[in-house]
Amino acid sequence: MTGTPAPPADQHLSIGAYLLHALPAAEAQAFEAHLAGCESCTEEVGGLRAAAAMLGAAEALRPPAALRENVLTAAARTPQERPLPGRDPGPGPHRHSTGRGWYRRPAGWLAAAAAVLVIGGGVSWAVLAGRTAPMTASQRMEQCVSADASSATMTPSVGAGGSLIRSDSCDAVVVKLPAMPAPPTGMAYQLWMIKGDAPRSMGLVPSLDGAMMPMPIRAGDSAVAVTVEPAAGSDQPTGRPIWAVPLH
Amino acid sequence: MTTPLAPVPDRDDEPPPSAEALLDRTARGDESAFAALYDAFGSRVYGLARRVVRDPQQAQDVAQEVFLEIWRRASRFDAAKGNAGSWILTLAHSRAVDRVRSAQAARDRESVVAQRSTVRDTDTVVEAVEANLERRAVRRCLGTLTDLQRESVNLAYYSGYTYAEVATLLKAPLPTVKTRMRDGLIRLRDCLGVTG
Repeated sequence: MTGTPAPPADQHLSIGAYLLHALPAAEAQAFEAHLAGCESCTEEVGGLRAAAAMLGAAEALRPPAALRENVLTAAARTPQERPLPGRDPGPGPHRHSTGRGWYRRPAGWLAAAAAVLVIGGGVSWAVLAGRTAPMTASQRMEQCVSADASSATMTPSVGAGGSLIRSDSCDAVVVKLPAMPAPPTGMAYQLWMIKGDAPRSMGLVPSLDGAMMPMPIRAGDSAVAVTVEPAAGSDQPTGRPIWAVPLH
Repeated sequence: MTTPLAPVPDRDDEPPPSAEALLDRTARGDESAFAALYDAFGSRVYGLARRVVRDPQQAQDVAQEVFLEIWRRASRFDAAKGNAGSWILTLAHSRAVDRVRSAQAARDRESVVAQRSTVRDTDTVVEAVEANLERRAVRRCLGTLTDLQRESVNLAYYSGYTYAEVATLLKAPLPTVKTRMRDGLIRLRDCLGVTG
């Protein structure tokens, strides 16, 4: 039983192999023919394809900077295919009213985390308030970190510029944000400490001029991230990070 | 001064544009939307290509090929059939697997086989990978699969094997492997909470 296309009754079993691109070409075509006549398959295909896509997304790795330039340059001199005749060209972006990318769904990278807007120690209230506030704990932490000869400096994996200094002996990090453009009207930058799949808010970014913020870390904390949120802040991130630094 | 951050929406009153919206604008020849699409998905496309083809230069070639195809064929994307992220990653995976199957020398192929016993072969790449919250979720969810489901999915998706090759490697009957691939994806979907 090699190479023979499966009978229709068994076709559906191939859905997993098809979505993993593990069917030989002939069988993939046979499965697509099956799909075309199977309305009930469409929904299953969508969900399983999204799951397979997450396997790929999980491998994200920053490409060499030159790739961006190469891609954009090549695109600029490459003609585009015309829409298929009869397809509704669509009124534009508003057709897709959900606006939430699959990769932004809490179930995706945030999992079931119910982030708490309670901020570690008294420190981040200063961050949240973004003004004077009692800086003593904050200053102590910053001094501790800067005096730690074994501290580690981490650079962003999302976005560019800025850094983070982690001191395990101080149980703290000092986050140095890059200078940032003004957020859109009604929006603000919000900082998150990520632990596993669970983000906890570290407050709003107080200044766009490369703010420097000490903050405590707890066991298992894995990254600091910045997202764009409504000006009042969010309980959990609603967008993907525009800046993120791994702690390790 | 160079832009210090990933792109922030230039519209004043809305959250960042969705990938679907960017694709829509790309289809109409909007190069800035295409650039934003690259910024949003470049790491995912390149990382996936790198994982599958392994060689950094070839991974770049695959990623460039994928983005050019996105540019050329953006008008063919049909939001009714799935979200833009899935579409892009599906395309990237398909091209990466094509590359492995067509261009990879038998020698390389064997070395991939040799590595299959080390299930943790991801780590060499992963160590250098950016902090990726999606990866955490995927790893956690892969852990909910049975061993045979997980190995079947991993070998097909990350190493580019056909299901027949997977069956040989795992010494399992062909229909069993097909079933495990399907069941594995179903568990992943349910654990990740993704929908089409």
